[in-house]
Amino acid sequence: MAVTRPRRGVLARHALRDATVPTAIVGLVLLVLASAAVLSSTSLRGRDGAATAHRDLPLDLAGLLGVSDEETLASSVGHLDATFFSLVLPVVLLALCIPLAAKSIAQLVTSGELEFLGGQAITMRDLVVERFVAVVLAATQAALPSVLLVVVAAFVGDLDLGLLGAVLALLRAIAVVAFVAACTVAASALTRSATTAVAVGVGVSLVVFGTSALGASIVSPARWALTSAVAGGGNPLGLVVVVAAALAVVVVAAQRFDAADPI
Amino acid sequence: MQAVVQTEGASKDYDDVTAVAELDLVVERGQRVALIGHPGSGKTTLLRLLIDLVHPTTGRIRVTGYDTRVAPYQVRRRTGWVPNMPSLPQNVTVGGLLDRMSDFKRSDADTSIRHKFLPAIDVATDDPMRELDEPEQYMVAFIAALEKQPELLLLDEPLAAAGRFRGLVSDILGGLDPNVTVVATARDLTLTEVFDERVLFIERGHVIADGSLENLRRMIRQRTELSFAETPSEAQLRALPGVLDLVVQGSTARMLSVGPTDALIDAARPLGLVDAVVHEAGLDVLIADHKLLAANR
Repeated sequence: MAVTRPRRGVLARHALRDATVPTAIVGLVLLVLASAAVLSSTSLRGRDGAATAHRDLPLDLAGLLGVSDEETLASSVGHLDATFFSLVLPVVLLALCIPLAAKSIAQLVTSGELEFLGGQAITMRDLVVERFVAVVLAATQAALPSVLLVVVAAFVGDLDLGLLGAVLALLRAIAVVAFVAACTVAASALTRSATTAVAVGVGVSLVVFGTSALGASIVSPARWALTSAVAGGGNPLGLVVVVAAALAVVVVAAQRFDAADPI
Repeated sequence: MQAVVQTEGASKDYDDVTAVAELDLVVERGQRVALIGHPGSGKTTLLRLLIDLVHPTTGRIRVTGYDTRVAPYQVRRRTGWVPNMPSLPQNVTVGGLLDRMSDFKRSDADTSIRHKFLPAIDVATDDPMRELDEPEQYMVAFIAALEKQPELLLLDEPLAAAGRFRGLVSDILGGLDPNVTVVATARDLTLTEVFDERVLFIERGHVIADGSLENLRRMIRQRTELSFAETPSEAQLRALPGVLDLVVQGSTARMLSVGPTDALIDAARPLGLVDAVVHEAGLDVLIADHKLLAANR
C-alpha cells in the first residue's frame, strides 16, 4: 500500500499567519527600542558615566549582559550588546513568544478546535513541532527589522559593529527564545492549560536571565549554557547546547502528546 | 467486499466508565451506517476512535486499511470527519478556512464543491467565519470534509447540527458516490430517513442491534390497532401471527405483536378487517426491546 507523508510546514504556516498582528506590533516596538539603543550608544561614547554604570551593575547581571569591565560598556558596540542584543531584544521577543507558545496547543484543546483540526491529514507530533517552529519564526520575523536597523545605523554612524556580529547577536536571542518557547509549548501540550504554560515560560525566562535564585544554585550547567547564549562571550558551545536542548524538549513533548488522547 | 472499518475487541475506558465495550464491527465499502443511541451511549467516542482522536484502551481498529494507532495520518488523509458543533477558527474567511483545510491535501482540492453548496446556504467565500451562525459553520465544516474527497465520512449528529440545512445534508448524503462509506450518529430516528439499510443501536458502549431498520422493527413489540366490520372472537385474534397481547374494545382490537405487520394484517383480512393503524415504535422502545433481546442472546 502506498505510504505518503504529511505535508510539512502547513501547520506552521497557518500558525504564523494567525500571529501576524502581534508579530508586527512587537516588530514595531523593537524598531523603536533599537533606535533608542543606537542613539544612546553613540551619546555614551567616551563619557565617564560608563564606569559608574558598570560599578552599579549587580555582578550576576553584569556577567549576564556580557559586561566584563567598564570598557565594554563604554564602547558603542559593547553598549549595544549589553542593552539591545542581550536584554531588550530577547525580553521583548519573549513577551511575544510566551503567549503564542502557551496558546499553541492548549487553546486548540480547550476551544475544541483540535477535534476538527485533528481530523485533517496531520499527525499530533507534527502539530506540536510545527507550532513550536511557528513561534520561533514569528520571533525571527519580529526581530529582523530592528537588527537590520542597528546594522544600517552602525554602518552610517561608523560604529564598530559588523554584520557578522549582528547576526550572531540575533542568533543568540533566537536561541534563548527557542529554549523558552520549547518549554512553554511543551507545557501547553502536556498540561493543556495556557495559564500553566505561561507560568512555565515566565519561570524558565527568569532562570535564563539569572534573576531566579533557583537558576544560580540548582541548574548551574544549564545556566552556564544559557548565559553563554544570552551574553555571547564568544562561546558558541552554549548556543549549540541551548538549541539542542530546545529541540529535545519539543521532540519529547510531541511524543508524549501523540501517545495521549489528543482530545 | 473490502472492509473500510474493522474493529477487533476495541474498547475505550475513561477512568471507571466504559464508553465503548469490546466492539467487533465491520463496515464494508459503500455502506451507509446509522449509529443510534441516547446521549452518552458511546456513539461519539466510537467515531473519535475511528479517526484516532482518542486511542483504544484495548483491541485494534483498522480504518481504510490502516491501523489507527500505527498510521493515524493515513487514516485521517482518507477520512472526512465532521464533529457535532465543530469549533472552527474564527479569524479567517470561509474561503480562507476551506483553503487551509485543503492545504493539508497532497493533491489540488476540488473547489467545485464549495461553489456548488455555499450558495445553497447563502454564504460567500469572503464572509468572515465569526459572522456565521452554528448551522452555517457546521455546513462549512461539512463542505471541508467533502472537499477532501474521502473514502470514509464520519459525521457526528449531522442532521441535528445542520439545523435548518438538514434537508440539504440529507440530499448531499443521498447523492454521494456509492463508493463512499458513511458512518453517522443520531440520538433519534430521523437519520434513518436517510440511512435505513444498516442501523446500529448502541447503549452504554455496546452495540445491541445491527441490521436494517425494517428488520430491527420486526424483531420487537409493535402496537397495532385493527378495526373490524364485525368483532371477531378473542381466540381468533390471539391466533393471528405474532400476537403477544390484546385488548378488544367494541370493533377495535388493540394488540401488541412481534414480527412483520404485513403478515398480521393479511391474516386479519378474512376476519373482516376494515382499517389497520400501525404505531411505529419510538427510539426508547426500540432500544429497550433490543437491549432485552441482546441480554437474552
